[in-house]
Amino acid sequence: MFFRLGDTVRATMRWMTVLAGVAFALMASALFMALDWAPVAQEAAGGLTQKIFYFHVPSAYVMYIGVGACVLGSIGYLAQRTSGWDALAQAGAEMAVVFASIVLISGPLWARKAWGVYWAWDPRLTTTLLGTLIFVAYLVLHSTSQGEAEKKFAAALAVMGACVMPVIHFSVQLWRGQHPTVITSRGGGLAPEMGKTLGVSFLAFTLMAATLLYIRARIALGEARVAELRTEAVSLGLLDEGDDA
Amino acid sequence: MSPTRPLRAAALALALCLTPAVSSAQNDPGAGDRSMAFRPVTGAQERVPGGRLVVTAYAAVLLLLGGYVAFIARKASRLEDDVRRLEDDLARRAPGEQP
Repeated sequence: MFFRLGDTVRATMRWMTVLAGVAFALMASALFMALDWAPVAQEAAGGLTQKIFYFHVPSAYVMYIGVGACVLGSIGYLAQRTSGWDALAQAGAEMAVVFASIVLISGPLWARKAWGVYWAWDPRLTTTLLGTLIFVAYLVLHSTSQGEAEKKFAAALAVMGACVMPVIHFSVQLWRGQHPTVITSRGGGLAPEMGKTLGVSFLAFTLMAATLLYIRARIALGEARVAELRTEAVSLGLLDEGDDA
Repeated sequence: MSPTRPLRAAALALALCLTPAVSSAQNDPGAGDRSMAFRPVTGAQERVPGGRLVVTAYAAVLLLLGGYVAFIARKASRLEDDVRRLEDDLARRAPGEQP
């Protein structure tokens, strides 16, 4: 059983290396297209800094995926209390926080040029910051949890915290604000080269998100299984408590 | 429950997420000073130079992504060490030595 666990992790890593390679190649293409191929936008949109858009928007999209995975895992954990769901929730929350940080760093740099200030208490910016802090709180709570009760509490926090996601998404429609709204259902908000660059970037970020989420969840699951097996071995008298590394 | 079931569920959720994230119409006629479209321009003179801001933003993105990948790699390596240590601990205990 122990050998199988190690082999599974190693086999997954090999398979995921291929996917990560494709994601990396697409990411390099997206970077080249954004910085070199896509045209500069009008001054009101930030001019040259509008190029931040090509990584800023896909990062926000991956943040939503991370939150979705975290909520799915948390609901599953609350229903079944298994380490698989918990691992998925943890991986999703980490991904959400990493990509939300990218959004919160790249956005103000763009805003400095387009709006003249790094930060404005715009509805979308404020709700994004709030959402990020909720998932940071989830990760802190989860990392300090020593039993099922804390994990259940963290899972409930994730489910309730996810309610802020639709608010982030629809905040520009609800409360206007300064945030650009160029991706419309009718299209036409972007020049064709800009749209293609954004498309490649979305593809790269989607593949990368899938790879990172899968690998991180497998690792979290592996960690939980090793801890469970060690506890089981101690209870069966196969190991002493002091053998715990 | 199979340990991979949550991961399969995540893959399904990911696929469902692909479409709506980009769409979401925003047709607010009174959008005021918000930017509704990005138009290409040629030969524009930048009042505030944006090159440094773009480089900083992309460097931050790559740094954060690289940092997270390094964090995951370290976790994977630590997990392998833990599995190996558990195997060694169990192998060290011969069956006859059990209390």
